[in-house]
Amino acid sequence: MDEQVVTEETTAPEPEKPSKDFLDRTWDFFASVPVAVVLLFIVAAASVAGTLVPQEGMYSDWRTPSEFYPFRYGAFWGNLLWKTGMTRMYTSWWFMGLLFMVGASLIICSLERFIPLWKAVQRPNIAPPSSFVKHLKNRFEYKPVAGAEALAPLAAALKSAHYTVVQKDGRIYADKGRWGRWGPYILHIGLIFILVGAMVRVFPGAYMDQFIWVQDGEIAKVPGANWFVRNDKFTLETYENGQPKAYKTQAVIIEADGTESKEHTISMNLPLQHKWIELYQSSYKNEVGTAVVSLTDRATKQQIGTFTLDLHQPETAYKVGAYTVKINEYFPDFGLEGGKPVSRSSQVNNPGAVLEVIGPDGKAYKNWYFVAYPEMEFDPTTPVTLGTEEVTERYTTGLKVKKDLGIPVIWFGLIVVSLSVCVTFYLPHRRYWALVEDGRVFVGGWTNRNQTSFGDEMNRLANRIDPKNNPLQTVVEGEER
Amino acid sequence: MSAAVAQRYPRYKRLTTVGVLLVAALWVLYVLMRPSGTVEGIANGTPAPDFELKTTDGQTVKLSDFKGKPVMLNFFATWCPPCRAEMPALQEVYKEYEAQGFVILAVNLNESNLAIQAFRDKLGLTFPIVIDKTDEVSRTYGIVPLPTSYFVGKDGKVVGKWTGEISKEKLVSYVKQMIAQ
Repeated sequence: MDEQVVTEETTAPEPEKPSKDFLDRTWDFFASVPVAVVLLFIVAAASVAGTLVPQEGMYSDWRTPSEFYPFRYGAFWGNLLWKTGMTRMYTSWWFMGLLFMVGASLIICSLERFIPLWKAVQRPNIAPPSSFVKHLKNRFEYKPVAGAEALAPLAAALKSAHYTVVQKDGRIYADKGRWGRWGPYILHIGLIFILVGAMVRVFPGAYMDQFIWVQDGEIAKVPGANWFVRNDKFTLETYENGQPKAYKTQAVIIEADGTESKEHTISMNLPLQHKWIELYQSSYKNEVGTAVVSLTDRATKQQIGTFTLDLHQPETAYKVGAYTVKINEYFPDFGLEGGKPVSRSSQVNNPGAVLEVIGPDGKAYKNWYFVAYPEMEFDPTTPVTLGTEEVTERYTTGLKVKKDLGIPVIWFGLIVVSLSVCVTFYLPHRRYWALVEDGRVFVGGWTNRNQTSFGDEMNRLANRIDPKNNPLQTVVEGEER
Repeated sequence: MSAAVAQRYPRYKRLTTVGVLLVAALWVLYVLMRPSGTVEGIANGTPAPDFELKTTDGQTVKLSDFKGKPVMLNFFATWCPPCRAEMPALQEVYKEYEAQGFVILAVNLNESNLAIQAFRDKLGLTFPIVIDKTDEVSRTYGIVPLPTSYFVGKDGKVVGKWTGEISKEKLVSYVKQMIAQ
């Protein structure tokens, strides 16, 4: 086959040799082992390249992909990477095309070799020329007992050794372990499953990689699903130096109808699995939750009272005894921009507020209040000072939401691959041919694996049928004595 | 058989090749044609996904409540300077075209009622403001920078998307386009 291709490409076609049409050439292309090797090499190189370029949705930047890549790599290279799909490689048309070609090559290479092999194994030549049988590396001969059927003892011995025995026209053909020959092809089937698993993600609903924030005690809808997750408690364990040691989230799954169907503590490498979706512990936020604020008479240093300020959902006014505290302005993430107070985000990182304290006499005084720095006053003359008695923290867990229906397919493929390895290594195909010539029976054998063990088997077989002519050759100490 | 008749490969080989080529064509076509898997928001001409959110007073507002009216969906946060900068223009245009059915539905990204009310009162905003507590709506609409606005026509389909601060002229041209629909 390969020779034909070479002659056709290098020399002018001979007149009587018909030229191949497109279909035959396509077959030749995919049946070629060098082509398969080159394809695998390209896929490997592309996969490595895909890990070097940050993929879409993986980079941490607010820009959309069409803006991010030119920004990161310059207009030319950025646009080139983005337009060619290098930035979403594992779903790009050309990568998917390459995987498909690897699959086609696997199937056609296998068929090219499997079909002739199948014929040879399943429809063996029962009566090969006698010289073939006599010249096999593993062989023996025996003298049949006069008057008895010459091949009968061999047939019986092979049958008792679980061989499939065919007896026809004074010949014997026997074999076992045919599956041992299919090992490489089973391996290819496994590889095709792995390829399909990698390609499945381009189908809608088969693949997802998202991220959600869930505050302690809150419920969030899981993207791409019709169920919800509740964060009962996020816990952060730290080492003595303050480095985070472990994070975990006590999570509850809530179905669309409101029933709680699953409880699980999500931690590193212990994701929550539900209906093909996995929730991984990925990140966390630590914010100020509530603060207990005290009012103290500046002159007498007597505490007037306290109130609890929810920094995520503050009220407009709080009553403290005969006093009223109004929140005029609130900055959860206080900062200064151009000399003006602003909130840099909605996260409660450094809460500050302008509070208006109205005394029992109806007089109102405004002052700044910072939860973390209550001593920072802007007006030290107000009759009431504000203090922070107690601060609670509020955690928000960051969960990665992953779905990949290709994973079970890939696992199945891996199981098939390991089965094929077992079959290839532990199931040798053993064949026997026998014929009668000049009153003697000639027996020849062949195996594709583990020649020594096959030789032993044949020697024991020969010894059983005709001990006089076939003494045991390798006798292990203590055995058969 | 004359020598001119080409000796082709066996049928199973040729059929397999035909199958491979067919599936390859379908596969490449599918991968090329399928909607992009990246989050770039809702494309023009596609229906704007419906949602149900609450205002600071706890009232429920649905996008579908405004079916048949031209709607501007404005995703904002009170701490984002360009959001604050474009609000006066939004309020002016809203006042001007309210009588013709134009609606602005402002979607706040999970802030406290106090912050939103203070923002609303300071800027004198009269259009409805709802709070996207779980980021679900902004995720659906693929909101990356703030502010981002979607224009939803009378038929409920997206007419346009604008990221960043919008000028009054641009806003008016969108509103006129939607009213003329």
